[in-house]
Amino acid sequence: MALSDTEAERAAAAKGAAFTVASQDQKNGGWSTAPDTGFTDWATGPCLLSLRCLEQKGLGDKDLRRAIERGLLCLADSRVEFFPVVARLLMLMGGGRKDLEYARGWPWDPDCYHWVEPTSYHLMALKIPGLPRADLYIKVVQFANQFLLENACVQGGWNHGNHISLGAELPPYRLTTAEALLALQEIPDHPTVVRAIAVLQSYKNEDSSPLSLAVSCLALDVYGKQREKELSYLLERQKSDGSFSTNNMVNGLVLLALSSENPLKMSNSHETT
Amino acid sequence: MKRRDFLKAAAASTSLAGCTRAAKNEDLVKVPKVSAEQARDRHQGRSAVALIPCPSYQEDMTGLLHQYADRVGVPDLKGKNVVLKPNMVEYRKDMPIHTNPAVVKAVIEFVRDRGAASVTVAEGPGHMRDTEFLLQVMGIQDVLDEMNVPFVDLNLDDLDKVPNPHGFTSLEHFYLPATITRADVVVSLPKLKTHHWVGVTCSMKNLFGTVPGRKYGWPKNLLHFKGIPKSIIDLVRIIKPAFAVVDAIVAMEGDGPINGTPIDTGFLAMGRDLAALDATCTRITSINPDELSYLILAGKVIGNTDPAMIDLLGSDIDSLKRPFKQPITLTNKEMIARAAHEGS
Repeated sequence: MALSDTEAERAAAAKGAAFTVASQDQKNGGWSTAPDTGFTDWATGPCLLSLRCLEQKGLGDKDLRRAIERGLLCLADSRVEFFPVVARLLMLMGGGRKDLEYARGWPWDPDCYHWVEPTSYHLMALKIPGLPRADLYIKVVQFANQFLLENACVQGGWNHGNHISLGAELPPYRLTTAEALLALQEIPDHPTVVRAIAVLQSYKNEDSSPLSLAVSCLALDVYGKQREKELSYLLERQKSDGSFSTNNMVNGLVLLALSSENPLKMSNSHETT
Repeated sequence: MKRRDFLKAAAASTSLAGCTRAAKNEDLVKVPKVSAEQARDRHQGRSAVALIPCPSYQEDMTGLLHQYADRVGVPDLKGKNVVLKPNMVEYRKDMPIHTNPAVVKAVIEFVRDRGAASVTVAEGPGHMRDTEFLLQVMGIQDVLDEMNVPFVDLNLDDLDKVPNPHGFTSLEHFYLPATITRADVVVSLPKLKTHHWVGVTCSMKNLFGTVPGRKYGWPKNLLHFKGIPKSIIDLVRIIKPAFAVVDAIVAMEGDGPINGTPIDTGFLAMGRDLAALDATCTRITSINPDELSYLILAGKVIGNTDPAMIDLLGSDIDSLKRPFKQPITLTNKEMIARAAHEGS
């Protein structure tokens, strides 16, 4: 994602892509958080997003394309499922296809409930480089969007999963709200999105961290909103050694937020291959 | 899975009139059968638990812990690499969700006084993954800076594959953070809270925060599906914390572990047998530990939950006991049913 056009950086990106392709789960086409740590998990979305972006930059080859196709199928197959096969069959026979079309996002782990963050990552992987052409993915995106929209907090924005738990309203958080907004950028005028942007803009310095500020800046930018306040909070947090965090993933995200080109801005075109 | 346990418990409750109390409770909450292998490492003999009156976070907590440490059997820490595991699951302003930083500071001083070679504070918050934010707003970062103690985000740590022999979940192994698996001594530093899935959360449930989010996601959802009580016990058996210090100066009652309300309880608790410690703290909340499945199971494979086998030091249960508001999942079946549709 941080790829620029120098030859050395393109070579490094190509090596990184080759590593990512090689670490794909051969059984289902997904990725795990680290090689040799068992089942495919939420890391599938970010890995797929990076490979698709690299392909867009012209770094693709046959292996990369195959990894992307398998990864996309993995995303389609790994959404949360609330009904066993027999129940789905009965629903199909009883009410037709529409009964099977309900809000479905992605879990952190296989076979668990759907949550805002993995759903957002996977939606970004599907949307940002351009939505794959097959109808399958249009439906996948539609129902994942629906999950996010139905689970927005009462006051706007997003908590981690539900907007309500055992009768208690849950508050939104800066990070989860920014992530969900990045995932829903093709519907900027939807009332839930508009309210969430207002929530995101309402956060103060004390509600913030380098991670949540970096993602907030990226999210506000894709909606064409001012982000000077968030950038100033972010710059206040730079340490004397130049870092913003002890976590290098956070430092990477901060650099993306500070760069003039936002790589998380959705492509307007559908995938062409 | 706990919600289903409760529903099954409600349905089963009318058919058990002739059973003994212990057998009835075990049946109600579906405690699994325990093999000899699973019970092999259970604490032997009597257990000591210190209930240390401590009306505020301004007290000399380090001194109080020293007064009771030898009598509850805190192990020799000389030359050991000690990892302290507080509860930082989530943050809400002025709500006692997390272990108070003053308690973290006191235990850092305590283990250093007892000769620890190194002290690390480590946690993998179970809900919020923005750990740096949590450290700042909870005030724990200030303590770490003042005491010059490193922090490890267990959600993002290197992973070790750890076998789970004779476990109660169906997981053959866990991926656990290297900071935990390679520590000489792990100390659990929970906040005492009611908990809407397991009744009460204390030193054993606190170990959910050792499960790495990078592998298991962020409410450690897989462990919910594998059964929270079974997962708690598997983690205690694998990690084997050396002892625990419970922050119960201000506890949480009601819809814990997040949405409850503060209750002044005014004590610290310390013990080496985590089953005895948690059962004792549960009694102080006015909830019966014999009705909570993970504590029943803990009594079989971890240590003593029978009060007759627990020697109390310091205060007694009756003088600290409060009528904690109970989680709605223990009292309101409609809520449980609704929760089943809410997804998480």
